[in-house]
Parts: sequence; C-alpha cells; structure tokens
Amino acid sequence: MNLLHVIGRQWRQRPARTVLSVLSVAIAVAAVFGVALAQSSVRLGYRKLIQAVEGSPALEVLSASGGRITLDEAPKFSDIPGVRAAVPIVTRGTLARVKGKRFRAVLAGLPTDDERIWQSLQIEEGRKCQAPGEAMIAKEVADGLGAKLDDRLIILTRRGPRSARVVGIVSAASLRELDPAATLVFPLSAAQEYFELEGRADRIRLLVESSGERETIKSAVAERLPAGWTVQAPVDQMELADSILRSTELGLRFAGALTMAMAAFIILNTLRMNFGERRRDVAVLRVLGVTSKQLVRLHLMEGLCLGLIGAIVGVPLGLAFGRGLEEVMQQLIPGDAARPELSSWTLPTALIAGPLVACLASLIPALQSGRVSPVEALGDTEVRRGERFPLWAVVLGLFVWLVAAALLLAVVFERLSPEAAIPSGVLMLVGFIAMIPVLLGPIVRTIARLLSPWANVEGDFAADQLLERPTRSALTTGVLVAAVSTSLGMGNAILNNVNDVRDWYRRTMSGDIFLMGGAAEGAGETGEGRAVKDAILAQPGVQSVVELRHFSTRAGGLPAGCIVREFLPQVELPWSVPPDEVPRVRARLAAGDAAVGSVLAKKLKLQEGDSLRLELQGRVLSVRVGAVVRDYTLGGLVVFLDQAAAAKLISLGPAGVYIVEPKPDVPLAPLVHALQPLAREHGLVIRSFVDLRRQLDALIDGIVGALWGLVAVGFVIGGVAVANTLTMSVLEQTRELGLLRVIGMTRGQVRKLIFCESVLLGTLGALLGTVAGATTAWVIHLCNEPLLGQSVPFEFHLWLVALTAGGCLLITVLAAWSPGRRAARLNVLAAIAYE
Amino acid sequence: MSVLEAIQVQKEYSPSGRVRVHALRGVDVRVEAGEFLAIMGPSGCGKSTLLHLLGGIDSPTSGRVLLDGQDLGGLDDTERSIVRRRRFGFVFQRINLLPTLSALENVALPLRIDGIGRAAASERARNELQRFDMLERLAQFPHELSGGEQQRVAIARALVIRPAVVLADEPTGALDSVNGSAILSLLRECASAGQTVVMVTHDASLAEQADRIVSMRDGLVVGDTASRVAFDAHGQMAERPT
Repeated sequence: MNLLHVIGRQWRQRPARTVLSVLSVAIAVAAVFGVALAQSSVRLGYRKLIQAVEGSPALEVLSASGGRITLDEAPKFSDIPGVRAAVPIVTRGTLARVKGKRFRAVLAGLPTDDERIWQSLQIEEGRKCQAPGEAMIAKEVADGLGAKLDDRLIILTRRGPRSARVVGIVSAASLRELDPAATLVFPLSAAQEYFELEGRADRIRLLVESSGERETIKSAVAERLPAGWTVQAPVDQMELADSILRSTELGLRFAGALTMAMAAFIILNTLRMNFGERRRDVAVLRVLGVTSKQLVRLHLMEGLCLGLIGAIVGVPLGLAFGRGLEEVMQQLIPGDAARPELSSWTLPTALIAGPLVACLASLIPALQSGRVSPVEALGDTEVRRGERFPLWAVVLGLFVWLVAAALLLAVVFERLSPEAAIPSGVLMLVGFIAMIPVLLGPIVRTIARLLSPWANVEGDFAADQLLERPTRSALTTGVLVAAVSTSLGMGNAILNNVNDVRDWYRRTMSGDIFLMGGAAEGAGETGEGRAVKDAILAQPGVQSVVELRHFSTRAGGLPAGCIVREFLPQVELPWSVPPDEVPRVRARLAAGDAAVGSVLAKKLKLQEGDSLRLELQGRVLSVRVGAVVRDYTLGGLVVFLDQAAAAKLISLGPAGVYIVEPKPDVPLAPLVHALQPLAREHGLVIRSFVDLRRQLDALIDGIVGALWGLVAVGFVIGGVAVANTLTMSVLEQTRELGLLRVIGMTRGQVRKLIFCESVLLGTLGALLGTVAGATTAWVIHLCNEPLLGQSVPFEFHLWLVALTAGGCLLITVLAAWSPGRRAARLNVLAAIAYE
Repeated sequence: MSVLEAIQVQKEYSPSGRVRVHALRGVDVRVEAGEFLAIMGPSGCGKSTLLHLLGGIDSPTSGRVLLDGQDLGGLDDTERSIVRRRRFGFVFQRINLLPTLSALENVALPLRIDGIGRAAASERARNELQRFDMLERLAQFPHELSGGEQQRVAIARALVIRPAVVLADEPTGALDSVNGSAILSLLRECASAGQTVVMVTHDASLAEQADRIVSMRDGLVVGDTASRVAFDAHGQMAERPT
C-alpha cells in the first residue's frame, strides 16, 4: 500500500470531510463561471444602453483641417481587429423633388462594392443602388411623400439637376448607423461626380464591433493615418460607451479578481482544516518513517486530486447557475437581448484554476504537515491548543496593504494606468484580510458580550472557538469581507455612475420630441432653419423649441465636438449646476462664453475665465471659458456655445436637431402626428424622447438587475463558504462538542453555539466588509477621474450598506442551519472517541 | 438507599451494520449513596458501556437505569442532558479537557452551561481548583499541564457542580503510578466526604481501594463483593475485617 492509498482510505473513512473539500473547489470553480456570466450580463446591458442612445459604435476618419480627404491616400482599415467596415461617405444637403413634391434632403454617397456596408443597411423594399442614376430613399421620407419604387427623383447638384430612379427604400434607423442626417442614398461614385469630388470623400466611417474597443481601435487607426488626417468619435455619437464601459469594465474586472481571491480563500481554508484535522494521522506516518518531503508531496498531490475532482463537479454547477442567470437576464433586459456569453477563456481558466489554486492552497498545510513532530502521535492526551497566527503574516499583511495603497494613490494621481487599480485593489484586500487576526479579539469579544443576554455560555464558547483558530476565522471572514466589499464597493460605484448617466440624459433629453437630420453640417441658410422652428412653434400644443447643431472642431488642438444650441430661459440647463450658479452660467453663455466639458477642461488644464482656441469651419476663434460642466457628450470632449452668440462668429445654417417640449398635459401622439407633414417637408425624422427615455430606464434597470445578480453571486459564494467552513468546523470540533454534550450541554445549546459562531463570523464579515467596501467604493470613485477624465459625484448609499451587511448576516445565519443540526445530532459516544 | 440502579440492562451494538455485538447481556447493579463502587473486568467486558448507561450518555437496548428512582429512559434528550449536567460528574481516561479553555475555564464550563454567570462560575471553579492544589495553574491551558494536573482539573470539573454521582472511566489509565495514586486518593477523599463515586477499572489493585467491587465478564456481572480494604473517616486505609 503506498501513501496515496492511505489518503484514499482516509477519504473513504471521512466522506463528509472529503465531500466538503471537493465542494469548496467546486464552489470556487462555479463562482468563476457565475461571475463571468454576471459580468457578461452587465456588459451586455451597458452595450444595449449605449446602442440605444447613440446607435452602433463607430469612428470617423476625416481631414483635420475640415476639408475633404483623398481616398487614394487612405490606408487600409478593415484589417484592424474590431473594425467591421470602413465606409467612405460623401454627404451633402440639397433640394430634391419626387412626384412633383419639393423637399430638403440630405444625400449620402455610399460605396456599392462593399457587401459588409450593405449588410448593415435594412432595405425595406427593392434593392440597393448600384449604378449612376439609381437612388434609395429613407422609408419615413418615402412614406411622407408617397414615393414608391421606380419613381423619378430629381436632385439639385453642383453640376445642375440630376435625375435618378428610386430602386430601394431603406429603413431610416439603419441608415442613421452610417449617416445620422441622410435621407437619400446614392452610389458613392455618383455623389462624387454630382458634387465634383472625384476620388475624394467627406469622411470614412469605421463601423466597430464594440463600444468597449473603440479606444483601442482609435489608437490603431491613428497610427496609420497620413499627416493632416484625424480620427475621432462621430459628432452624432456621445461616446457614452467609452466612458462608462471603461469604468464599468474596471469594476467588473475588479469583481472578477476578487471572486478569484474569494475562491482561493475558500479552498485554502477548507484544505487547511482538512489537513489540520488529520494531524495525528500525519504524526503516525512520521513515526513510521515517512519523510517531511514525502508528506509535502503527498499533500500537494492530494490537493491536486481534490482540485481536479472539484473542477469537474464545479463546471456543470457553474453552467447550471449561468443558465439560470441567463433566464433572469432575459426578463430584466428588454428587447431581443443577446444571451450573456462566456468568453472562450472561461472554461479553461476554471478548469485550470481550480486544481492549480487547490494545489497552491494545499502548499501551506502541506508544508505544515512536513513539520509535524512524530511525538504528537505518541501523546495519549489531547495536546492541541489553538493555533497562533504568525505575527510576520500580520506585518506582511500591513506591508502589502501599504504597498497596494501606494499603488492606488499612483493610479489616482495618474502615475499608473487605471488598470493597475485591479491588482492593487485585490492586494489591498488580501493585506487587509491578513490583518484581520489582530482585529478578531476585540471585535469578537464585543459581539459575544452583546449576545450574552441571549446566549451567554454559547456566545463565549463560540468566541473562544473563533479566537483559538485565527487563521481559519480570518480566511472565512475574508471570504465574507470580499463578498461584502465587492458588492458594496462596486454596487455603490456603479449606482453612482448609473445615476449620474440617468441624471445627465434626463437633462440632455429635456424635451419630449426631437426632429433631427435637418441639415448636414454647416449647410443651408439660417433663415430657413428659423422658418422650420417657427413652423414647429406654430403647432398647437408646443411649449418650446430648442435648436441644436453639432460641429466637429479642434479645441486647444484636440479633436472635440462643438454643440451650438439655444439655452432658453424656460428650459433647464442640460447639466447639473447648483441653483445659485444657474443665472451666472446663463449670463456667461449669452455673453459668448463657452461651457467646456470637464474632460476637455482637464486635458487642456482650463479653468473658468481662461481663453480657449477653437477651430471651427476653417476659422480660428478664441472664446472665454464661462463654465466647466460635467457632460458625457463625446466623452466630455465638448464645447457648448450659445446659438445667438455663436451666430456672430460662424455661419450656423439650419439646425441639425430641434428639441420640442409640449405644453403640460398635451398628449404626445397627436402632436407627433401633427408634426409629421412638417418633418416630411423638411426631411426631418421625428423621434420621441419619451420612448427613448423609457427604453433607457428599462435598460438601466436591467443593468442594475444584473448588478444585483453579481452581488447575489458574491453572497451565495460567501454563504456556501461559511456553511462549508462551519461544517468543517463541526467536524473538527466533534470531540469537543461530544464532551460538551457529556457534561450536560443540550442539543439546543449546541445548535445555539454553532449559530453564535455564524453570527460572530457574519457580524465580523459585515463590519469589516463594510469598512473594506466603503474604501473600495471610494477608491473606485477616485480611480474614475483618471479613467473618465471627470469625477462622478460620490454618494454613499446607506441602504446598500444595510442590504449588504444584512445580507451577509442573513446568509451566514442560514449557512449555520445544517452544521448546527449536524452538531446537535452528534452521537455523543462516537464524538468523544473521534480522532 | 440506592442512588443509582441498573435493572436488567442490555446493550447491543452493530458497529459495521452487519455484526451485532452484545456489550451487556442483562446487568443488575445498585449504587448506594456515598458509596465508592469499582466496576472491574478485562477489556471488552462491557464495563465502560455500563458506566455510559449509568451516566445517561447512552441508552440501553432494554432494561432500565434509575437515578434516585427516576428512569433515565423516560427522559427526552434535553432532560437527560440536564440530568447529566446537574447530577453527574464525569472523569475519563483520555481526560477530555477542552484544549481551547484554560484550567479555570474548563472547571467553570459545566456551571456556565447551566446558566451561571461568568463571575460566579469562575469563583466556584477557583474554589474547586484550590481544593486540588491547582491555584497556581488556573490560567494554564491543558497542553501546559502535566497528565496528573490535567486529570486533577478534570476531577475538579466533575465535582464543581456538586453532582450526586461521580463516574470515572479508567481515571488513572493515562497516568504514571505516582499521579495515578494521587488521583485515586482524590476520588477516595470524595467518597469519604459522602460523594457517590463509580469507577471503572481493569486494575484489581485500584479496584481494591473502592468500598465495593462489581466484577464483569462478557457483558455480565460475575461478582459483587466488598473490598478487602477499608478506609476510616480520615481516608486512612485499613484491612477490612472479614
């Protein structure tokens, strides 16, 4: 019989202990899956949210000076990972006529030879335009004008009127993905010819796979650009994705890393107990001549075996859990939500991580077993006294904590990349957990004293049990601390983020209806825009109309967006400004000052009163910074100008967007109906903010729901870990519990004892977890600034504290039920004979 | 008057689930108040099983165990626990002190379990340990005490509740002869002070120090005799007149 057979025999003799050890690895592996799926769900929710607000993610390559680009000079973009298609576009505002009806249109010239472009366009009727003399028309415009396939369309071009046949009717929504203002589509070659732009285009629109990748792609594209070209997010997109996803992604990765740490704690704790319980057996093996090295090897091998079995059990557990989560997500996220997916690395990671972590976790007890003295086997009396937590570990914990804090400070002060916050945060938590044994005594004794009116001896005895095993207690508490701090820290940060975004879009979408696509950038006449606005205002039930235009600009040398709009007195400012500041901000805007997005202000080190150099329409302007505002448009790289003041500096042309606010109590549907002829006449598309806001609210609720899923995963892991630890603890204390029963402890008292242990652990986890969670929330908040370029208002949600702390306590108390029952039902005689 | 009585007690085990072991095959034993009774016999004769049944740690397969006339079999688990806590003191061969508690805390434990406050329990435990000359070792943990000291703490723990009966299972089995005889003297003193003591041993010389010896073999009582030695009121040993 070799030594592995001895281990095998021990497994069979103590099946409960073996099952619990395997279960701990299985839980850890399942946790990796669960968190990966929850992360995927949150990401999915965010992406849907962003897509709802700004359409499919894209980038635009254009001339830095505002002119056209020569396509022969364009490098290849389609081979850059994440780029779906590169679409050269010519956009022109023009006058058109169909079926004798004249209307203002925006023409987009698109290449006909790239199928990937056409796959993203939804053709409602007919086919795509391929040859000169063929055109497509947006469905809303076609419906309004009564245009049909094969109708003759006449447009005014630089070369005079040109005629084309309508060969397709395209969905306006899908056309917006390529050009937000376009209502007519022509082959690119035809558009180039009509407007004397042969071989040139206004811009190249890059359709990208995911908003989260936009920043990486942007860097890759920038490296390839010829001199005088620039790449930026389209002015019609708000770059919500880049800002929010980066922040959320950081939080999610942090949660993932903490889950791995939790999993490692669970495995380490269980294996320590597993090996610790067999100390006498190990001593007997030592008496029989087994060397320290053999014992270390043996226990490492055992750890690996337990890890392998645990991983095999954990994967289906995790998949089952993930499937349940998917179902919940389908309910939470409205629409045809894609299912949360596991990345291809999740399964191998879980399968490798389980045995690897188990093997590493068994290293410490294995090394300890190598140091077991043979004398322990000879002692006839129980000589075990509670372990002592090594002081060096506490000192090391403090050191690790300080190093991690220094790294985080470096992140906050932008000396290190925000990504460094993840390992730093995990290190900080690990350091904190290593210091828990120092805090155990006073906290546990205090809580036990509070329990004494109800559980005097049980509370004291439970406290003794925890204090006599500081490593076990610290690791179990560590799992709970990780669960609470992840939930609280990340939950708080994401809630603040989401609330800020919600507040922002509610302000930005201040009206209920908007009419968009009135003109390509800078085209047309202001007077015509005024007529459109007056016509909208003349509609009964309209309270106010705000004109808004997007311009590409370079502000202080940086590519940015310029939004020229009206700031009507009766319409709330689109930013969160303290009430007493509002008159001052309005007055400055009216005086021609700019409101600068905080990200841009930070990048250019601008303050109120500073002068800002703006390149607009080929002109260089100098404007004073009247206010620095927190705005997510274009990721905060944005300058706002008052329309009246801007009209003195540049040629504005008709508005790109009209934000319409109805009078109170005016029903929306009839008003939208009434505005439709006007919209058709001017080639405008009507969108309702009400629907969009509702959609956004639902999506945000979905994200928050997925976030709770993530929180729940943490708690389930924590709860199972505590149940596992308590069960192992009951096994470990079998003899002591038996003895307590012999000297008169009732079953109820034994149950109460285990219950007290769980209450102490739960309270400890809740208290320390709240401290760690508050720190985590604050750290994430501080890291947001280097990440987003602007600070999100920090609010500490006390209800979240109550929920996470209460959840921690509840889950630990529930976790005590089975071990308590088991302890109470111990066979007294078998227990006192238990080795 | 008998304080503890076993009537036709039988106990069967089935440790492996297949083979049935008849540990006791109908045992009758009466223990008088203030008596020091030794139950003697070779290993496996059922003496420890009998002690467990007498102390309410285990239940007989058939027969009855009466404590002051009350059938322990008629009590539920909680009532039996309370009886064990208040009426019995246990001393084991393996000593069975709780390793995580100090000597004082170990002795105070039965009082604490019985709901007595920490201060009062500690005070009584301190007094009990003083009786056993252990005042200097109150704060020591079991692993810091010698085997003899550990067993003295265990006896102090058994007596601190002022039990009706002290049940000792091979109390000197893990000790050297010096410590063994010291422990036996302590039990003897308890009996001399009017405490009922039931001691299980396989050592005839130890059994001789009891007032009465019940001999067992193969789960049956095969002898019930008075000890050949007697003790005076001061615990001094003398030859019992035949």
